[in-house]
Amino acid sequence: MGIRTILTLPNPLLRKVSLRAELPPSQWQSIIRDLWDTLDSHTGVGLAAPQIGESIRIIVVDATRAKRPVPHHGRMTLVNPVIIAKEGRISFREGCLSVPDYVAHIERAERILVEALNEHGDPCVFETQGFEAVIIQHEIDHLDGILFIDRIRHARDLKPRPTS
Amino acid sequence: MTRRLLTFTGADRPGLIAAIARVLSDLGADIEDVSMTRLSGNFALMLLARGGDLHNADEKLHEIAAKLGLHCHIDDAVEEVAPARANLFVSVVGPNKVGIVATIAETLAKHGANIVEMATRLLEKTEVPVYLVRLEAQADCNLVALEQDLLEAARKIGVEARVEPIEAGEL
Repeated sequence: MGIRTILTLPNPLLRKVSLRAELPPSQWQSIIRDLWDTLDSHTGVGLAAPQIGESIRIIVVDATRAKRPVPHHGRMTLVNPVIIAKEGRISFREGCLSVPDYVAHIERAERILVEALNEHGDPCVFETQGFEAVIIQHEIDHLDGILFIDRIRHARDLKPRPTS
Repeated sequence: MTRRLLTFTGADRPGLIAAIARVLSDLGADIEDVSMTRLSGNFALMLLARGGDLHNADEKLHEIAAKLGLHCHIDDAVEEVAPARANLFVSVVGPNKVGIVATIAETLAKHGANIVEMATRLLEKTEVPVYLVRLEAQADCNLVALEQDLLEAARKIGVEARVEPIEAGEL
């Protein structure tokens, strides 16, 4: 199917808790391909399956596309990702392809230890920090039906996206 | 000492606060509290000022407002007996429609809860326009009953609501 429409608010699929991806990996491949095709057609740095209407725990993350270079693990497909440890606090200005045109500073863990399967179904555990850690936390939120606007306290914390 | 609540509204442009604050400063008035916001291109400033020649400054304040193309409203300010202590956070998100604020505010009022802070956003580049409300209220009532009513009121108008008690830990 390739590039899919990215769902935006108030689509109820964005509010569902996604189901775990079950083996074998062959049944995830078309979703993973579509996630990458869709992400690559936008300026985002991550995408979660619910955003293309698939209620399954798969995310793609690409911190190589950050505006300024940041430490990263390259282009990652994470299946059933779980944060098993976290520490520190960091605040980033986040936006979301499902909530176009607005951004907000969101506080998240600075360093995280992630357990997941890769696209082939092989388990992996890795540590990451900074922007890449923020992207992963934002995308895992999508798997739980949570959007970044749920993490702001004041409506005016939501700012129009700067033009630059 | 005279304490006044001043409201200035009109089209936004640079320099409005500078000009108003300069007039108050020249009057020797102390700016005690300010809330300024931009409501979609509209400048809205409320401020509490006290002292100096403020008791005799209405003409000057209206003059500067006219010069800036603003409307000015001047009231005697009440003295606060006790600060409002918000103990309830309410979030509402859903497809934009007329009556969201009225429905939520009426439900809070029915329980005697006082909204102490509220702001909204209209997101327009979404699937359909989405309205977002965040407010804090002081609710000296049965919070469980209030929460149930708010969730039910939100459900009836097709929006989602989240209600959380605001608690403060001593650290």
